[in-house]
Amino acid sequence: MTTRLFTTLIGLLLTLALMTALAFGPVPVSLRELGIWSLHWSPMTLPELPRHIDIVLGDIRLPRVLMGLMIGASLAMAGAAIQGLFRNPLADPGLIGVSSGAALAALAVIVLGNTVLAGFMATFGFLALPFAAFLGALLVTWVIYSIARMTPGGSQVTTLILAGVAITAFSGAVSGLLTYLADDAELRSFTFWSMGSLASVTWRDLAIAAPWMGVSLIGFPLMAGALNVMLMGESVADHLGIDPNRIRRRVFVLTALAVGAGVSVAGMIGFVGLVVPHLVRLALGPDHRALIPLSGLVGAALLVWADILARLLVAPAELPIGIITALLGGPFFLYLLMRQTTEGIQHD
Amino acid sequence: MTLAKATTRLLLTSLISAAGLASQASADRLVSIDGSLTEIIYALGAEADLVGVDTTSIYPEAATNLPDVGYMRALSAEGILSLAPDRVITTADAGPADALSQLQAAGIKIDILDNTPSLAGLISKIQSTAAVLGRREAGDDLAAQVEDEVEQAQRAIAEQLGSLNVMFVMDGGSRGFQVAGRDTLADGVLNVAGFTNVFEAIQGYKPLTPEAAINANPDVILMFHSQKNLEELATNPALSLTRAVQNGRLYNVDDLDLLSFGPRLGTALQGLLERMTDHT
Repeated sequence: MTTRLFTTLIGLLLTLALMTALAFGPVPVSLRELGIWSLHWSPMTLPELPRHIDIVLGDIRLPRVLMGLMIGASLAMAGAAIQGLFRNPLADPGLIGVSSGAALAALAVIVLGNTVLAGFMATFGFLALPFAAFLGALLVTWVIYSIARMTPGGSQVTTLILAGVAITAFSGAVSGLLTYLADDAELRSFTFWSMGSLASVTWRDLAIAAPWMGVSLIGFPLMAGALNVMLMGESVADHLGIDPNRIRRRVFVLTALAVGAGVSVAGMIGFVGLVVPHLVRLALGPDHRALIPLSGLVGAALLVWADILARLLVAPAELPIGIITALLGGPFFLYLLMRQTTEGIQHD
Repeated sequence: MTLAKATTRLLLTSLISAAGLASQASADRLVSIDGSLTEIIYALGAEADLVGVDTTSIYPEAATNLPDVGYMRALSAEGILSLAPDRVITTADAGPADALSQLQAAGIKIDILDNTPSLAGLISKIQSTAAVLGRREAGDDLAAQVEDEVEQAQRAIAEQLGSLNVMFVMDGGSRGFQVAGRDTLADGVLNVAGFTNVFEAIQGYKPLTPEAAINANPDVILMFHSQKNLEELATNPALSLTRAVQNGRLYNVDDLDLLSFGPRLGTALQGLLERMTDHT
């Protein structure tokens, strides 16, 4: 498939997703109302919309669509960059500990919020959970990276992966300890958080998370050339005047910002960072100059479609969006793998 | 004569306006997010106003046929808005806070009622619910009736059982036993019944260890959420050495609905009394 055709297709899919996401939800909104609403910034005199329609479109659907776009795009780009950096299609942003750190911090706030962390809760109020998740993501990533840096000379990749595995296991154990102390309501809150949701995204959340994610949305495509060089191996990169450690550090920081900010607002949304870059690579090949931006577009489209399903399938209740991305992503990923294998055999 | 006529007219007018007010107040489309509130709304005869409930609203059974807006701590503003309610009635457990403020912004009245697990808390919850629904009189009647039933049960328990040391245990399946400390509905029930919670010193539900159970040595153990039968439970090392199990005073109380803290609290306590006096 050519890059141009692929881009056009994804562009259409994304546009359609945006329109559908604004037009459909549990509250019925007519096309006329949607039209009036979307023109309300213009100088035209338009009929007044019912207050609840105005709120549903402007304060509920629009911020969650925008947040879905940004989270989907940054998760997928982070996945593409991490897979390129480790030269491993099975890598995902979770590999550098960012998700386990965020989960641990979130669980700590949920379980210890009334006791040990009461002061923290009082200081940050309703922002305590997102802020803690963000801090946890950054902190664990920083610890893993610092350990890797202590390796004397040579490649740090193995140390990175092993440190990542060890720290993830450790924070998993601390999470287990907190789970053991948690009561039923706290466990349920954490379970819901860990499956992700865009249900209560507000303009305030968007304003808090967007700057961090914006940095990574701009930063990842700029890394494309360097990641292409890294694909040829670290010594080649070295000879071409690119410091592999500096590239690694940048990808780390960008990933921690993107995933940390996303997780803090919407909880854990799995599979996007793993499946999307894989899909784009199968369609277009490994050139990061196309792979990274197009992964962003596909990730954005996927998450907005998943969010539409999340709010419609069991209305008036909502499904956690992480369930939907995993339900769609899992089988699709398997299908891609199987197709790849059979094609490989045919070529032989 | 004219005075009597005027008085009659005045009376009639005020009656009519009162009736008008009442019907206006009860015209609210209502979403109830808490099982005990849903129960109170049914007991007040206001169920016709209900257009939606949450997953914890499982009694009476008719409530489960209403649209379900999901788990009370993970609400979605748009889902609730789609039921076009005028009013959402809930307790402090509901969330997330953002969903509630979005509802408020959309012009929906939100009443967050106190949910303290005590008799006084239940009475005030009934009265506040009735006030919100514009059915104060029915609320006072229901409150008086519930208070009466609960006090009757309290007297019967005090006479027949006295003050006992009780341990309230939730069987968490693979997570093991969880014992109820203070600030739980289970602790509230024990206090209303006039029992002493032997784990009052801890807060919330905590894992129960055999040694802590032996140390607390309760007279009675109440179990809930258990898939196992009592014989099997009695052999569990965390329970088997307590005075309660040795005297055969281990009871499964799932069917009694002790923890709903709604209008059936008196009935639940009577049920508990019967359960506990059956064997002795």
